[in-house]
Amino acid sequence: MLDRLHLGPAEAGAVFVRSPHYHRESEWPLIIYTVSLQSAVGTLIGGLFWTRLGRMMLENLVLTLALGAIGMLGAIGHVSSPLRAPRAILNWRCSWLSREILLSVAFVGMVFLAGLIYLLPDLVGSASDLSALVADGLRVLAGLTGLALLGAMSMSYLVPTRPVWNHHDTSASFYAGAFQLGWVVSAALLFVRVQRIEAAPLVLIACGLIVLTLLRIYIILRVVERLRGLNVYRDQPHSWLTGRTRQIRIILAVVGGVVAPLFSVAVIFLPETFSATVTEGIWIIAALLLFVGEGIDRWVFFEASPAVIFPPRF
Amino acid sequence: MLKQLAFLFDPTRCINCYSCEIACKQENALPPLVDAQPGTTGPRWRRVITLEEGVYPDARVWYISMSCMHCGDPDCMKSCPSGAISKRAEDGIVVRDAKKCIGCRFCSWACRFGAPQFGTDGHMEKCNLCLGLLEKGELPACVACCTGGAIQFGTVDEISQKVRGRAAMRLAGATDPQFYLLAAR
Repeated sequence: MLDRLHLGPAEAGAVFVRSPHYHRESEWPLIIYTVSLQSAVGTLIGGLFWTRLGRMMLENLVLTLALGAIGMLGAIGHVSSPLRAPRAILNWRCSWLSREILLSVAFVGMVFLAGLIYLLPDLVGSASDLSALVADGLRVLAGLTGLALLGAMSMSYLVPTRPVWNHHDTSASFYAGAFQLGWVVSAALLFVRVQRIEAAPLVLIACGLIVLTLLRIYIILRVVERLRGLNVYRDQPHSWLTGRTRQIRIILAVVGGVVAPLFSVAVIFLPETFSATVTEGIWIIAALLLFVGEGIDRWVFFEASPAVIFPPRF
Repeated sequence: MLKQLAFLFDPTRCINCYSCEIACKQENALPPLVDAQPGTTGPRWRRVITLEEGVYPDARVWYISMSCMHCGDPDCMKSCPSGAISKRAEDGIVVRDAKKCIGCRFCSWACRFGAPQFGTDGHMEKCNLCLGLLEKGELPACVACCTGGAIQFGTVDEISQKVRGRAAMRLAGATDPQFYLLAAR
């Protein structure tokens, strides 16, 4: 009966005794930090693909930088002493969190530098191809740094006290989420920037998003399957993962990552002036839906993470 | 030469009076309650836990007082991004530097024993074996006040001497916790 009601922790807590392991992590700043930085890395890498199509290097860099800056603000909001935050990179030799922060700063810094170098000829009033070349090189370097950042970010959560996190599918989730968000954000930017795009690239972009979304959903289902065995109490992860929250998360992924791109392909057959606006709107909505979906995923990640310690927390 | 300090706990002597917890709070000026978290007991550097075994009529209850294990290879120290946690070379006590802690709470995720605690200022605090008292040649507050003499402490060599001839176990773990438990007679 109760299984059919799909009770989440809040409701379950009212009916059942809370597990001794239950410890809530209300980590809104961390949700903002991880989702923003992930999407920033993905957007930059996605932008590397679309450069030839839309010549939108600067827009891509600005958007990446904006997402990165939001993420860094989230990171600062997470710590109790923001003024001491620069100390966080000191223990990079053995702390994954330290490496994560170091790579975050390097990533955002390189993106900023790439944008500055790209704009340099305009700022000093001279024409030069060299700056575009250097900026391109920095973008690639920033992309590689971003990939390392995603690895360090997920490694931070592989701690033995949190069985919900301590699995390689956490890393898979972080990478898949980054590529999916980055793909949809950079594609939306492309459609805003380039009003009319050929059918072949559009189909390719739509297929890419569908593949990434199916991969993301597959990883979510794998996490649900793995956590089935960890569900000792009613307020434990599995009740979250099979409940309404997760259903909404999957619906958002399907609508934003499968239905929306298919619809945008179908819109090609509409009159040109009309289809461009609709395509643009569809991809912006798809990006928003996937952002919200990833945010819900991360919220569940932090909320349903019981600490397994000795002695149990009480 | 490192003389690792460790705790020895004898559960047969513990009467669950919580005086160790209270002495720890008094000595380290820990708030009894935390306004920001109504209903909580505030930071507890030392905690008495209850373990149950068997079934009626052969059921038994054990009380074990636990604090930071001052591990040989502490997870909290390795995870701390700002280097606020360190292990003293001379006695192996794991200490934190309040001025270096950024309050990221990562140590609380990493520690397998729930030792790192957080006060209202959001910074980590933990058992330091009452360093101030040790430097004056006194016992840690929890050891000094334990009514049944259940909590003892000393160097690993001294503890080995104490447990000689008695069944004892050392808490096993990847982090090499420095906590010895005497078995029931």
